[in-house]
Amino acid sequence: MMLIHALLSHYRRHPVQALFLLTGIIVANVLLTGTLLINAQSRASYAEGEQFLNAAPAGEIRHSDRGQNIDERDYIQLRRLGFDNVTPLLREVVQTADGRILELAGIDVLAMPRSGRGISFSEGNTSNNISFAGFAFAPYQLWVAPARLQQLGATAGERLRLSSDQMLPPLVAAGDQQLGHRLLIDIGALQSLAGKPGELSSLLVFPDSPGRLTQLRESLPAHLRFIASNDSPDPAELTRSFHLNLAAMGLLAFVVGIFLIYNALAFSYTDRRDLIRKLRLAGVGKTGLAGMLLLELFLFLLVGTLAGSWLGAQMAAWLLPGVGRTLAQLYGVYIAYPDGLVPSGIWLPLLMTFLAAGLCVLFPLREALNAPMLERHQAGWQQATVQRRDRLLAWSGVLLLLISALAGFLAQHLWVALAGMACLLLGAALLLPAVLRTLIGALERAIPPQKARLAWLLADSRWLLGPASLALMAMTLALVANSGLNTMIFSFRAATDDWLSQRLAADLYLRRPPDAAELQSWLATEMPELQLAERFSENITRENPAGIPVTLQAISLHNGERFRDTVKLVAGERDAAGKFHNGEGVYISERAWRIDGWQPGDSVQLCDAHTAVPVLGVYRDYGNPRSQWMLSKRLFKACWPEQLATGLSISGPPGSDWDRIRSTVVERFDLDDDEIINQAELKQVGMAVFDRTFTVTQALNTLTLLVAAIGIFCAISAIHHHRVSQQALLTSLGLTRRERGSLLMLQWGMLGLLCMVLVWPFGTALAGYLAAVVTPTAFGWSFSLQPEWRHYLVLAALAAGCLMLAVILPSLRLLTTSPAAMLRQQNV
Amino acid sequence: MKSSRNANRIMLVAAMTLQLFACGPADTPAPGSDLAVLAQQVEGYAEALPGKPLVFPRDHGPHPDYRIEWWYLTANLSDAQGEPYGAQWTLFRVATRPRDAANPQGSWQKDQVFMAHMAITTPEDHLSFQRYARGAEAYDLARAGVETGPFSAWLDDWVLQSRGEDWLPLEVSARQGNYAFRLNLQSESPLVLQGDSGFSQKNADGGGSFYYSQPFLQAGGSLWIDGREVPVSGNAWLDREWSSQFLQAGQAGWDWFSLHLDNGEKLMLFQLRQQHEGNATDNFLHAGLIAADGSVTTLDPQRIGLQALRQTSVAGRDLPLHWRIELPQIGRQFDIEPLHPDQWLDVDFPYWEGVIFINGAGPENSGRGYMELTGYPATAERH
Repeated sequence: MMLIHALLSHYRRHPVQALFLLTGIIVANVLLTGTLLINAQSRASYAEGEQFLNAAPAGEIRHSDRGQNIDERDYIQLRRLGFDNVTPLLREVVQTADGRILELAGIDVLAMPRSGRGISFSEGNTSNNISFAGFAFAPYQLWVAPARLQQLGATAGERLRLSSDQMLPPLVAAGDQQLGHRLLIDIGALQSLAGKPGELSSLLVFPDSPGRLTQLRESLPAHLRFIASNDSPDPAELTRSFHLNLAAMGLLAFVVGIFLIYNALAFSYTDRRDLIRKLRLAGVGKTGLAGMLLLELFLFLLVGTLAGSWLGAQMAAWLLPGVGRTLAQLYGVYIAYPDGLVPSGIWLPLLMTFLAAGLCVLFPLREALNAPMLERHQAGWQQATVQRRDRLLAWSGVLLLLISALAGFLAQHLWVALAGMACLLLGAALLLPAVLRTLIGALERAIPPQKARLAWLLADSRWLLGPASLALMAMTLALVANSGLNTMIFSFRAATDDWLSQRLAADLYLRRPPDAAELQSWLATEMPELQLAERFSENITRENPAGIPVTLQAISLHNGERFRDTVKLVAGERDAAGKFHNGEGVYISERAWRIDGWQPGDSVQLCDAHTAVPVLGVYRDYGNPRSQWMLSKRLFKACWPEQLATGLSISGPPGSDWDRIRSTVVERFDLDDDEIINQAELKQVGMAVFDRTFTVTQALNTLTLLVAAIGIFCAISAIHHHRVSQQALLTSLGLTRRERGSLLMLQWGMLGLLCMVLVWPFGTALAGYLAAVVTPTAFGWSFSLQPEWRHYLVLAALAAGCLMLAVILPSLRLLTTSPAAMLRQQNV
Repeated sequence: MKSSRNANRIMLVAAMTLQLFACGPADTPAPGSDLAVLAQQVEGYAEALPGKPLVFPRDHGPHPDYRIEWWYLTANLSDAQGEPYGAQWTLFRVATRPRDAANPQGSWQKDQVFMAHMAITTPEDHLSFQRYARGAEAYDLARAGVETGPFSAWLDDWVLQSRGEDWLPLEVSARQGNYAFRLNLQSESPLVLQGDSGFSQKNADGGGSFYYSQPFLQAGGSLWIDGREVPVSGNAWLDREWSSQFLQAGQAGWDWFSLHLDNGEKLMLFQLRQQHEGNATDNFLHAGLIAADGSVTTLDPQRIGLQALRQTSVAGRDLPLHWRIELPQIGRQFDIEPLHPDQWLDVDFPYWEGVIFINGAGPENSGRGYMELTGYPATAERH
């Protein structure tokens, strides 16, 4: 007891060091726990399936023509045949006046199932004051998950204005309705908002006896079809890559946290060498001391992991709506935002932290216990030891980089790709001390000998690498990750932008096509300079070369040069374009190539009506989480002659007055304004979706950077504790406080800039790794790297600034202490 | 205060409407304050007033200018072996706000809500179901509605409709899962206009409702019980009523009896219970004897004896399922006993409604009927 008391008294005198250790432990846990919880919550949502008022449909009835809405009369007919488990649904995406996109689901609460987990009008939810009657009747209500409400920056009771200037019903926070990203509204209210009276997107089919479901299928008119929930693509499978990426971010933060833990332990044990020496002289055994130090660490871990887990849960709840938005926009998958997250799997980060901390403590503990008993501890960081360490680290770094390169070449599975990425990151960080030492050495040789102060500064910086290198490594790790992700997102964005410009060849796109023939003949007489193009699509299931059934989309490409040029092949046969337009083969999307494994030259069976055709080439299909085959219109029509166009587009010569053409078409064919969209708008929407998709990544990215900043602050504070003698020396040499301050700033700023020597190339390498290995393996999309130089400068300024800022606070104490006091302290 | 039974039904609907709007906790007996809320909403609706003759077939149809309305059918049935069965089909129409002719609305925004209950009583069992739907102007756009010419009232596939162009014969059918019924309803007897030529006064201020009945329906058809068809026949009673007005506060619930006597007469009897039990003399009693020709003899409330014989525990409530009824004015005395206690409708606004036996001396004191008990609090709530 006395022993632990003596050991812990160190932290009483230096509470900041205790804080640093705790910070490391918490940092290691927060993001890891947070991302784990988000993933667990998403998985739970996928397992439950999409829910409406806490009831999960067994399937949906949709129009046989994809994208067509269902006539309400068909629904009423089914109800009057007695299928009371069928309820209407209208999905609409609307934009608010301030540009936010809302996904609305319109339902009829009066038609929802009356038993089981369905609603009851009498079981009104008195706890949060929601009312089914308020929902179903004017002035209506817009139900929103509390987390989504916060994301929208709105308050309950508020009415949002749409870009069409219409007002939405008042917002009501409905906590336990599994709403997730969607907002729930009465179907009648939505029909009139959307200008779609009598239209339904689908009919939800709630569970009934198997016999009754068969009867329902048999009662459906030819233009409706039933899709069982089990037959829809499994959202868990669809979003697997996304969640893996999220987990990788959590792991990255964990690694940064572990660096901090190691750093904090190393400083704390170095500081206590004297104490430990005295205790050992007093007869305390090594085992006893080790036990006590480990017990102390255990206590820290206990507090830190608990706090980290709690903060992680808070962070998960905070990030969940962002994740939900990404999932909704990227995959069309909805997850619930529960009021409280289920703390499932929380033991995993706990266990990992304990194990990692256990490994971290080994080296400093051995050093502290094995220090010679009779020798007074002198300088903490002997140059020889440090140099040996740096060499070891550098070689480990090189080894990791080699492994990373190997993984990059061999990666078939996302885990391998992510492991390779981790090796690249760690490798870069481990190289840092040796690289910095070399660089400082080179600088020392470069400066003229008469600049004594500068020479001293460099020599001192080289010494500083001993205690500071770990913190600098953690910072470099975070900076490399940040730089890599930013470059990747920037490149991906540019690629998507390019690709959208390429693919959006036509000028006007019609969302709900009027009769194509009518539009064609009207155009021919009224505006002969314009051309109409039809787009067809069909969902098919085919076995991929590995024999696994894959649901993919077959789409048509309109004839004509303008459209032919919109498809740039990533890989392909010679004269692929010619063969394609003769209907002699198909193109496949990059995902179908990379993930499903079809190769150019492979033969694929399109339909029963047509012989197998070869794969001619591979095209990019960014943002599409599903595989796609592209056919010429002729080939498509040969396979599915009955299929109606799912979309129409109009193109014309440059310089046409598209606003006028658009309004003429809208007027002539009685279209809603949002049913016809021009190229620029479409592209804008596409890019908006892209940007929102990466919001969570950006947020996590910023958090990692923050973690690194905390780390560097902790480290500098600890180092300054050891720097009193150096300051005393400088003071005795006659340097003023101001001069000493400038030297400190210069020193740390220089270190930050020198770190960039690693951050720049490795950040770019990481972005390349993400672009060429991770993203293709995860999503089947590849893109070329486009380094953004401006970002690199920003990052350098950020690193140097961060370091100098982190220096200011601990330095104040150092600089304000009087030289006499310093020397007194030195003599202790 | 003739035909106040209808008023009770109004209260049932009122309470249900209230549930719909307030979504309060289940089983709340409508307290005075809730009714006060409803009273405010009455403004803007048509008022039921005497002196307005009923016109048929028009008045078989809906009256959307009035707040509430129902088509209420109960049938006492027997299978080939004489085993007793029962069927209940009810359709309530509730306007959620007064009609605004200047602003016609889309199909889903109709302010007419329909609520339907369907129940089947078997010798051992009782099944009950409920559905809601919104009305619409167009027949093929409405899950629920009522039309005349020919008459049809429906909610999904729960339908009461004329078999031909004329009002009678009717057919009622409903199905939920493996339970269903389909009955033909025929009668040679005329409609019974309740109260003053179809206007039934509800309170001393003169307010009331329009009300007529068809208590003499001969029913024949089939029940499907867990998928098994049971051919049945018997007597059915249809009530029609519409109004915009609600009862005063202070009533806890009611006990209501519609009785098919073996001598061919029909007897309707009820009591309105005051909220604060204890003094049974505060309860309001009403009884009317309907002769085979449709003429109604209203009995003196002072001379109606209605005595609960014992309480039976059903669905967590103590319910008086056994009664002694004494009507010295017409020289009748008989006991009421349920076919079985479990005829509880576990719907959003739950109540007991089911098949009963009339046991007394001679055909004028025996028969079968339906009893409705509402407003009995759950046992735990009372203490």
